[in-house]
Amino acid sequence: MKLEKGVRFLLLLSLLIVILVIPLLPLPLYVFHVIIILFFNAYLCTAWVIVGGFAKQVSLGHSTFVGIGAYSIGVLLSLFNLTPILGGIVGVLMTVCVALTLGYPCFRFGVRGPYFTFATMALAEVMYYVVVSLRGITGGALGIFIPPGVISSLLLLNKKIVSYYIIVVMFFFALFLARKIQHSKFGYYLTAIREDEDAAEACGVDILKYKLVALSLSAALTALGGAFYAIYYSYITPDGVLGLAVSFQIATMSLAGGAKFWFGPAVGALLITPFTETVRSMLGGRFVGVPMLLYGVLLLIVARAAPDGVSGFISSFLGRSESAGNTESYERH
Amino acid sequence: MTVSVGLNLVYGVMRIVNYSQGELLMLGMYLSYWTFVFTGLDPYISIPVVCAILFAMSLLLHKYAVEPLLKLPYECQVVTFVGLIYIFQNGALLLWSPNYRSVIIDFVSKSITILSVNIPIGRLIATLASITAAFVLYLILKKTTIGLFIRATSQDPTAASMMGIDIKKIRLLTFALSSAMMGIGAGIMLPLYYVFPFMGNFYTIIALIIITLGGLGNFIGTILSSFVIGITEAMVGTYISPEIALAVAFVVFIFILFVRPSGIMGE
Repeated sequence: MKLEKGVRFLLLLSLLIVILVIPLLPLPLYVFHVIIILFFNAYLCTAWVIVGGFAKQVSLGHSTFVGIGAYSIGVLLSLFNLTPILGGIVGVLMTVCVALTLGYPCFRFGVRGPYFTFATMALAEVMYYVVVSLRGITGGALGIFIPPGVISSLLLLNKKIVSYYIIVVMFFFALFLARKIQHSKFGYYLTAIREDEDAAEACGVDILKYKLVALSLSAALTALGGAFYAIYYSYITPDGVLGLAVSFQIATMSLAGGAKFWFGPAVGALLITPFTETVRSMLGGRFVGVPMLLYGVLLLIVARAAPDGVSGFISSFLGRSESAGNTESYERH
Repeated sequence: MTVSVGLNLVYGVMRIVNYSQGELLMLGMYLSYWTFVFTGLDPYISIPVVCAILFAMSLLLHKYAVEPLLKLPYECQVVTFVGLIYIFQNGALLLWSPNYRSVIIDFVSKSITILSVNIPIGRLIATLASITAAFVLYLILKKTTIGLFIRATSQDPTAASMMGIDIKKIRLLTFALSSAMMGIGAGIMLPLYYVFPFMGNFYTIIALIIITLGGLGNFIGTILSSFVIGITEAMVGTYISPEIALAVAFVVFIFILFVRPSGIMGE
C-alpha cells in the first residue's frame, strides 16, 4: 500500500501548513505548552533512537546529556555571563566528551546488553549527585534561574511562539537525520550491530567506531534538547533534567513507539505525551499518581502486544519495508 | 544486601534484570508500616507476614507480567519493568501520599558498646539479619532438592527441562522467593530508614552495582561486595560529602565494568 507520490506530497504539505499555523490559533496557553513539550519529547526520543534503537545499545543515561546541555547554559550564564548560544555550544561539546569518556571504555572492553544499561544508569546517577553536591556552581537541589532579560534578548518576540518554531525545526532536523542514517551505510552497520554484534564484527564492521559515532551523535542532539529546555523553561533543576526518571521517560517513549524505525520514537512521543497530559488535565490536582500509573499500564500492554512498538504495528499493517531490520530473526540471546 | 541477593537470584535463574526490585522493597516497607500502624506489630515481628504477602503478590506478577517476557527481546523487558516501576511508584503515591514515613521503636535507636565502639542496635540487627537471610538462602540453594533444581535451571534451562525439571515452576518460585527476600529487607530497614514512593530506584541501582561487583549468581561475592560498597560509601560520606559518596560508588562501578565487562564472575 505505497502511497502515490502526489498524494504523499499533498499530505506532507498540509501537515507542514498545520504545523506552521498552530501558534497563530487562539489556543489556551496550556494546550500550546503541551504541544511544545510534545515536540520536545519527540525530538529527544528521535535523538535517543540513533544509539538506543538502531544499534540497540539501550541507554538509560540520556538524562546526563540533557542535563549537561541545560546546565552548561545556566552555569556559564550565572558565572561568566556568557550568552546562551555560546553556552549551548560548550554544552554540546562537553556532552560529546562525556559520551566518549563513557562510551570508549564501554565499547572497547565489550560492556554489552544489560551491563551497558547499568553503566549508563550509573552515569545518570553520578551526574545527578555531582550537580546536587556542587551547590556553589549549580545551585544544588534548588537549581538555576535564568533571568528573563537574557531570554527576551535572545528570542526577541513572543517567547512561546519562537520556542515553538525552534523546537519544530529541531525535531524535523533530528527526524530527517535519523531517516538519512537509517538508510545509509552507517545505518546498516548499526542494524548489523543490533542483530548480532559478534557476527557484525566478524564481517569486518568496525563496531567500536560505529557505536561510538552513534552514541556521540545521539548525545550531541540530546544536549541541544537540554539547551532548548533551559531557554524554554528558564529554570533548571536537577530533578527536571537529570536523574533516572528523565532517562526512563525518553527510553520508554522511544521503545514503545518502536525503536527500530526512524519515525518510531516520534510516533511514541506524539501518542504518549498527549495521553498523559490529557489524563493529567482531566484529573486536575486530584489523584497525583494516576497519569504515570496509566502510562505504566500502557507500557506493559505495548511490550506484550507489540514487541516492536506501535510503529512495528503500523508498518506491518501498511506492509511497507521502511525498517532496515528484519523482524523475523529476532530471538533472545 | 537482601535487595541484591534477591536480584541476583532472579538474574541467575531467569537471565532477566528486574529493574523494579527496589519497588518491591518499597512495597514491603509500606506493608510493614501499615501493619505497625493498624495492629501495632513490630516491623521485626511482621516480617513473615510481609514476606508471605509479597510472595503471593509476586506469583501473580510473574504470571501476568514477567513470564511472557522470557521470549521477548531485551528492550521489551526494559519497557515492561519501567512500566512496573511507574505502576508501583505512582500507585504508592496515590494511596499513601509522598510523605516520608518511618516507625520509631525505642530499643532500635539505643546503642551498645563493644570494645569502645558504639554500635546502634537497629543497624546491628539489620546486618545480622541480612547475613542470616543470605546464608539461609545459600543453604537452601546448596543443600535442598529445590535449590538443586534452581541451580540447574540457572546453568542450563534446556538441559534442566530435559532432566524433567519443570523450569516454569522453578522460575515462578525463584521470582517469588526473591520478592519474599524483599520482605525481610523491608522489615529490618523500616525502623532505620524512611519509606516513600520514589525510594526504589536508588536501591535497585545499589543492588545492581553490588551484584555486578560480586559476580552474578555468586552469593559469597554478593555479601562481600555489599560490605565493600557500604564501607566506601560511609568513609567518603563521613570525610567528604554524602552526595559525593554515592557518585564515587557509581564511578567505581563503571570502572569495574570496564575491567570486567560482564561482572567479576562474568561469562
